[in-house]
Amino acid sequence: MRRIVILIVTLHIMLFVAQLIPYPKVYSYQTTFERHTLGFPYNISSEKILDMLKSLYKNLGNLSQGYTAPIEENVTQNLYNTLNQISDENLKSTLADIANSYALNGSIDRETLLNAVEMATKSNASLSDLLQFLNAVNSLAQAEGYKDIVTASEDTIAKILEKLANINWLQQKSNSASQVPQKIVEVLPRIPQAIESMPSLGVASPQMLAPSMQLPSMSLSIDRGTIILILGITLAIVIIAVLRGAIASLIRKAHGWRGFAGAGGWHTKTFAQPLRKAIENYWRAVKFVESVYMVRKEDSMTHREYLATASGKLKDLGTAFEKITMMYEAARYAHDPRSDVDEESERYLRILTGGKK
Amino acid sequence: MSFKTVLDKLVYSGLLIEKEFEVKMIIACMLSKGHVLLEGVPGVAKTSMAKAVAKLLSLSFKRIQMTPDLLPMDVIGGYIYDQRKGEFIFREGPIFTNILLVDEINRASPRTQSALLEAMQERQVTVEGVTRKLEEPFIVIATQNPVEMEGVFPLPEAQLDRFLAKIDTGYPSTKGFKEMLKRIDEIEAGIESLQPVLTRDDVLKAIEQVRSVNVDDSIYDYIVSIVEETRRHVAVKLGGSPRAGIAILRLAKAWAYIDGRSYVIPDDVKAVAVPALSHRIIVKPEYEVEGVTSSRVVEEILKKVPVPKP
Repeated sequence: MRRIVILIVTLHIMLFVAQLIPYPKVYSYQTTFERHTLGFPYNISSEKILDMLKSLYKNLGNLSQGYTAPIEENVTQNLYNTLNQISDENLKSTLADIANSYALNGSIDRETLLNAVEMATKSNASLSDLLQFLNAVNSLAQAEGYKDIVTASEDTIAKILEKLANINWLQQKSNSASQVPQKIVEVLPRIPQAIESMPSLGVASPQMLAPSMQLPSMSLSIDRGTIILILGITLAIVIIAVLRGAIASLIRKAHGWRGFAGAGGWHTKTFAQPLRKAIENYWRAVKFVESVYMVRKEDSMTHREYLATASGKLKDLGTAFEKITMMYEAARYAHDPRSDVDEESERYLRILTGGKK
Repeated sequence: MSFKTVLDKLVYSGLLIEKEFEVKMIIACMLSKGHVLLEGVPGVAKTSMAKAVAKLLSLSFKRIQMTPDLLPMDVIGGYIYDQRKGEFIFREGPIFTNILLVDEINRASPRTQSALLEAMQERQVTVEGVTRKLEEPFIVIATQNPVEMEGVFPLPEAQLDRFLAKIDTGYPSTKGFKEMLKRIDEIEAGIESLQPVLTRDDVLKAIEQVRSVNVDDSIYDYIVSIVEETRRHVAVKLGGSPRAGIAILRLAKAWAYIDGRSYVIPDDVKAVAVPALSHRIIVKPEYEVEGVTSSRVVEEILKKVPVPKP
């Protein structure tokens, strides 16, 4: 697991550095976001969306019959905001009356809104004013649940938009041709424009829907010295990854020797009564093998099981440890009283530890 | 000559392939004056093993095939009328032998099973008020098939307890199986031509010597810890009894003796713990359905209980 992590980190650093060398200035820039609502078609046309919305309004209208909608704070606020943006006096005064009436009574009657829509169709106001006025009436009709007025206002908006596409008509309506496109830009919503530029397949990015929104970018200016430093670190990591076995073994051995050499009198701390030499030597040998060769003796492991496990790692010293184990067995379980058991044990411990007992 | 010779002749010579543990355990049971239950499917050399051991030890060998209609008299013997003498004389049953192989013990009726198991325990039979001692050494090697469940009378736990050890004998490994097929004629001829390496007196002497095998105090502690742990194990309904501890001790001593040692080490205890305990432990049904066996429980316990230290 550790090796895999090291390799992945190394690979990432290498790739990062490889990117840096040809391009000293790096811009992290994400062009698309993988965002899409499941079940909603991403390449839907604006007409289709309009149809869907109309259908939704109709259903909402059916549901809201006999229901008095509460005052919508947002709607009132929107009405007053729109008022400030309209320059045509007639439209402005009509919308002001509607807004005041709605704010006072909490509702508005159907006739007033129908009259407003009719007035707008006959008005000579600018396109910008007309669209804003109709949008305001439309939102109010939606809030009140007058589906016929919603439909009527949308039809009017659609007709105006159709006419916008006709340049001749635009020229007739305006004294200056150059000013018309400016007005169109002002009033046309951005989203349909973005939808037209959407790819036929794939996922729409937020930038397509909102071109003005910029993703955060990061600029890194890295000098040559930094690149060399990063490369050096990467090289060191790679060397460690390749030679980790040898390095770890060296560290272990050094640590083990230190731990074993500094363990004087350990047995007095470990065991209550003084031990026979052969027994003590065995436990010293076990500690040595545990420290230096990292072969742990589990509590449930017998001395012979431990010998079998450790022999593989001890190689040439396996015989010495085997002898120590056998001396331990003779002293511990056979209660062999001969002194040469202890002497032999002492001798083999010296061989095992290289005299550092 | 030692019992290592028996193993050399049977196992290391290749006559009984991969049966070292089983043969060693049969000998250990014999030296501990116990009996052994071999559990395994048919055709895994159970009979061959028993026969071969009997031959090498110059012991008498008899075999009974258990059936539901077998009567106690067919096992232990009974009185028959002798027309020439004009009196009833006792005819010994097959139990009067040194090594008795009881094939498919769970096919016999509970009545016959009880008679046999009582004789195994008492090492004597009483017929018509007359008690007859069975000749030493006496060992019953019973077999049972764990697969067949129809037409059998499973041994109750109390009866199972009379066996010193239960050995699960399985199929050989792929390599061992292939080797056996290659040398089958040689193996059959080898078993037939086996010559005794030890006498009956040697066996009796060995039984006495096993008693004097030295056991360190820490080994007793170790055995006690293992048996007590079986009672605490979460999957165990009924743990090991003091008799289970005695079985471990006796088998461990015999195991050490077969290895040529006069003292017991923790390895001996570990080696015999599963055969000595597995048939004496009852696993809870909810664990049994999950595949937990008594052998597995004992193995787990052996991995958990610390060996004597220092």
